[in-house]
Amino acid sequence: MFDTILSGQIIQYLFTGLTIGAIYALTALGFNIIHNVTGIINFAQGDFVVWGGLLMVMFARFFGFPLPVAFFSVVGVMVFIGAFIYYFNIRPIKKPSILTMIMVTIAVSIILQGVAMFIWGKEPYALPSFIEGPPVYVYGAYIMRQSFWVLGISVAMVLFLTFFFNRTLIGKAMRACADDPGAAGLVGISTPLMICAAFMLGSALGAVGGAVITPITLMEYDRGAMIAIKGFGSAILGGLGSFSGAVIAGFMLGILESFATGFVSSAYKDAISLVLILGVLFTKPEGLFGSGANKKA
Amino acid sequence: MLAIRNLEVTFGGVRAIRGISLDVAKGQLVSIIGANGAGKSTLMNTVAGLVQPGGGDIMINQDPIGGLPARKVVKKGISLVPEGRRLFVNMSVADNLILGAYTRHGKQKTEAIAETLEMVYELFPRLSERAYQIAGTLSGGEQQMLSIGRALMAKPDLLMLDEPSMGLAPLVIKEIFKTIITLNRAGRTILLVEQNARAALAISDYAYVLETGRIVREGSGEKLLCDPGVVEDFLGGH
Repeated sequence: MFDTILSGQIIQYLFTGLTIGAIYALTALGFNIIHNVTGIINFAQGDFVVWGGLLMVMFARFFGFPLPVAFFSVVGVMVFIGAFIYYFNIRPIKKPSILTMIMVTIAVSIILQGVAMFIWGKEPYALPSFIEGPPVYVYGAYIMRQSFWVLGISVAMVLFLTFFFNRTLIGKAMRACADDPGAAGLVGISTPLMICAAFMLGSALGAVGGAVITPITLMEYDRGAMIAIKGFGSAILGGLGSFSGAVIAGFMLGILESFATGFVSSAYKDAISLVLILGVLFTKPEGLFGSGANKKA
Repeated sequence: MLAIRNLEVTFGGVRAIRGISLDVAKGQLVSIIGANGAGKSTLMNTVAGLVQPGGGDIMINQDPIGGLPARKVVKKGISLVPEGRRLFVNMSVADNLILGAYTRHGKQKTEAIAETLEMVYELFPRLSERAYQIAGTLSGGEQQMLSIGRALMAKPDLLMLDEPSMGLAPLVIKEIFKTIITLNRAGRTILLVEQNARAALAISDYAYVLETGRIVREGSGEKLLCDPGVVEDFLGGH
């Protein structure tokens, strides 16, 4: 009797962890995409998630768009915002250095947060599940239907990115900029254009995460910083620049947090995951799965 | 084809190029020799658009290209095989080559690009065997072949090679030089920078000797090979 309750709990925590971990993974992927092309950490990545969630609420609940339309509108708007950020914040920098670009992304983060507060106010917003229905019963655990959406869309995004970076010319060109921007120029690749593309892709990816997680966690304007820290942590744990590492680390961090919440206390969940990130940074700064091959990291 | 007039380049606070003029005619193999720090690489990088000129003109087919960024110079028909090869080391051999034809995608038929790829694989059969290997894991000679192959993928009018023999074993150098001769015989215009002066002069139609940013001697490869000054300074003879 006790065993079945415990195993049910474990499955419950595992699914909760996978769901939140999926968002960390998507955020970590966003960090990696922009880092790989530019060498910078984009501190606005968490705010892209927030904007994705809040725009989804606006389009679906207030404008009454059907969900798929709302979802793709969110992606479209965020692609535009990503390009906007590049053109008006990154490109005008006279002497771009890693440090100045990072400072600019912090400014962008503050601006996005401010504008979000201006548009949506301070209260959290709820969004109905993509498909309404009672939770699904799996081996003693009740899984929210939206969790399957989160996991499914995250997996789809990982597959899409793998295809994009390995099979398409523009994806390869972006990887070439990461390897050697000078040599990329020699074959005719425009590095500025690729940086712009990285921002567009990064913000769209963040927004997808926000749009799918909001039905579970709600969303408010200032959630970005914590999401960014966890996503950045996942990117570091997985070895900065490594896509597969980011995904595995994101899920690991989510599961760890979920078990910490369940078996210790929800008050400690952030502390536990941050201690893990610090521990890895101290002992294995190239990340758990980093091979040290990524010299930029 | 390529004409440089009174080129001035300041690089890292130093006047690296001080009023250079030179010409490369269609179908010629022209080489630039000189000691370390004479400004050879700076000259190549300036023509390729990696370094901005301080003055003077660079023209390809009467079209001024001085000051254009590298990505636009490629489109004008100049490809540089840079010093140190500078491959996309984390990508496969095939991807490096495909990116070499980056400027042609969308403008030309995929068959035309595939044809060039076939030509590069024919020139360097070793690359074809290793098409899916990661470029960073190739040997030095293979990396140099890949760097040349990547430049050829753009179908350049002018191929510029910066120290292609650097850091390679003598046998491999021989192979690379053979390739350069083959490419030139097939009608390709080549501008070659080399420290290996004897080998370079032996295959060149015309050559320039660079010293502290100036051209101090010029002439046909054969003539410079017998020039006492050149022999003393670069060929290690008395």
